[in-house]
Amino acid sequence: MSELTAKPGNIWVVAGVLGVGGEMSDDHWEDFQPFVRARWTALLRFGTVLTGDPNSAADLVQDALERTGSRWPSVRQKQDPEGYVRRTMVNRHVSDWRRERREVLVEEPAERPATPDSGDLSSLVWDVLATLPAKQRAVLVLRYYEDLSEAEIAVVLGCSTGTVKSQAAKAKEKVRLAMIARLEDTWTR
Amino acid sequence: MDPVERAIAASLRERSDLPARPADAAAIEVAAFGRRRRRRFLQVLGTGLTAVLIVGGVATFGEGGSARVAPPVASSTAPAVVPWVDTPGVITSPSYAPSPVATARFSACTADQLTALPDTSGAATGNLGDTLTFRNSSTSPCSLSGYPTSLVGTSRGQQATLDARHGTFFDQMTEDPSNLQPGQTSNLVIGTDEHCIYGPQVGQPAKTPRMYDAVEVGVPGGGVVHSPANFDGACGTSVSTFGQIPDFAQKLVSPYPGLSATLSLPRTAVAGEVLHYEVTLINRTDQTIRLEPCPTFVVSTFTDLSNHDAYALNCAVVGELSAGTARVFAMELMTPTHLGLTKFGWSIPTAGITLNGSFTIE
Repeated sequence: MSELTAKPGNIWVVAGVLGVGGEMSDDHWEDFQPFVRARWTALLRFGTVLTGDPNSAADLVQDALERTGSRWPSVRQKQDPEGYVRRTMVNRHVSDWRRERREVLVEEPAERPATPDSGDLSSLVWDVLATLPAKQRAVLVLRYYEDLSEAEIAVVLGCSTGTVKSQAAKAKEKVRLAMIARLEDTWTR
Repeated sequence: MDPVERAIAASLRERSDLPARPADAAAIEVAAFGRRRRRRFLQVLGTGLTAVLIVGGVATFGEGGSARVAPPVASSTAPAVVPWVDTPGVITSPSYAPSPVATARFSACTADQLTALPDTSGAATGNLGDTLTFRNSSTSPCSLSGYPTSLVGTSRGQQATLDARHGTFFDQMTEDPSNLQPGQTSNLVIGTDEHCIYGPQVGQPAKTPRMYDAVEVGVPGGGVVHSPANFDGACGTSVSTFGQIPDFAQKLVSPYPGLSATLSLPRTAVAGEVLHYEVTLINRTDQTIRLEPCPTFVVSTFTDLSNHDAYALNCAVVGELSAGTARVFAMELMTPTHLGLTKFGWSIPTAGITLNGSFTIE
C-alpha cells in the first residue's frame, strides 16, 4: 500500500489500477493517469459489449489496466496504447471464459430473466450474444462494434483469418436462427 | 451488411449502455476496483461519503446488462420522468454535409464497363436499404443516371422480375447523376419494408420471407449487371436512382450531436385506449446537448394501415441534457383498434435516431 501515500491527489486511482507492488516513475505516473481518466468510459463500454455485463466489464478493464500499467513505460511507446489495452481485454476475457467453463459445466444454461423490452430485436440479439462462446462473441464485437477487418481481428485474437471467418459464421448463424424463430413465433401467435 | 449483421451491430451499440462517467478521479477509483474490489475498498474506507454515492450509481447502471439506462447521477435520487405533453411537431428534413458532385457529363455507362457488389459499409439509420456499389472497371469515364431499366432477383435459384417502386427513403440523399472516372463507384439502393408484417392481414394472406441472394440490374447505357444481394422482398421492394449516397452516419448534421435514445414499450396494449411508454434520451458525450430547436419526434404504428404522427418533445421541462446524463420522457399513444401484433417506430429524423419495437393490441 505504499503507493497510496506516495503521490498527491487521488492516489487511490492509480494505486488500484497498478495493484499491490506496482511501481512507476513520476513521469510515467503522470502519463498513465490521464490515459485512464480519458479512456475509462470507452473501455468500460467496450468491456460491456464484450462480456455482456457491466460489472464483469469493470473487473475486466481493471485487470487489463493493471497489466498495462505495470508495463506502461513500454506500452506508451506503442502507437496505439488503447488498442493494446483492448487486445488485453479480449484475450483475458476469452481465456477467463475458457477457464471458468472448465470449472463449471452445466447441462442446461441458467434461465435468463426476461428483460423489460425483450420483445424487440435488439434484446433478442443481445440475449443470443450472451449465449455465445467468448471467442465467437469477441469476433462479433471486434467486427461490428470496433469495425475491425477480419485480418485485424485475426491479429488481436492470434488466430488465422479463416478461424475468424468460421467463428463469425457460426455466431451469425445462431443469431439468424433466433431471428427466424422469433419471426415464426410472431407468425403463429 | 446483411440483416443479421445489422441487427448485431445495432444491438451491440445500443446495449453498450451508459457507464458512469468518470467525472473525477474518485469515480475512476471506485470503478477501477471492480465489483469484488469495490467491496474491499469500502471495507477499507468504511462508509465514506462520496464513494458511497458513486458506488450506488455504478450499481444502478450495472444491473442486468439491460438496455434500460440509469441516469449516471452521483446520488440515489433519479431525476423525475419528464411528463408527456401533446404538442404537434413540425417535420423538417435531416441535414447532410454536402459532398462534391462532378458536373461533367460522360456517356452512359454500359454493363460491360461496370462491376457490382453489395456495399458492406452499413448505414444503420434504422431504414432498410440494400446498397449495391457499381464500379467503373473500364478505362474510360462514364456516367450512371436515372433508375435501372430492369431489376431481376434470384431467390432460392428462381429468378423473378421485381416490381420495384421508384424512389426509396434514401433518394433524397442521392446525388444524381454519378459521373465515374475509371475505378470510381456509384450506388443503387434497393429498399425493402422495414416494418414488414408476415402474419395474415385484413384482406391479405400471410407472407413468407423471400430472401434474394442475387440481383440483375439493367443499366440505362445498355446491358445487365449481376450482383450478389441479400434482402427480403416479402413486403415489396423499391429502388433508388443511381447516384452517390452519403454515409448517413457520418454526414448527418444533427442539431443534437451525440444524442441517443432507448425505448421502453409495453408488450401489450388495449385497443382504443392510451398506451403509456417511455423514451430515454441519453447524452454520452462530455458536452451539454441543448435541445434547441426543440426536437420533433415521429411516432409510427404499422397495423393494417401505417400511421405517422409528429410531436414536439417536452422541452419546457427539459431544455438540455448535461454531459453523461440521461432523462426519461413519458410518452402516450392512442392505441389503434386493429387487434394483433403492431410494429412501432419512434424517431427524431433530424438526429438520425430511430427506435423500433412492437406490441400486441388486445
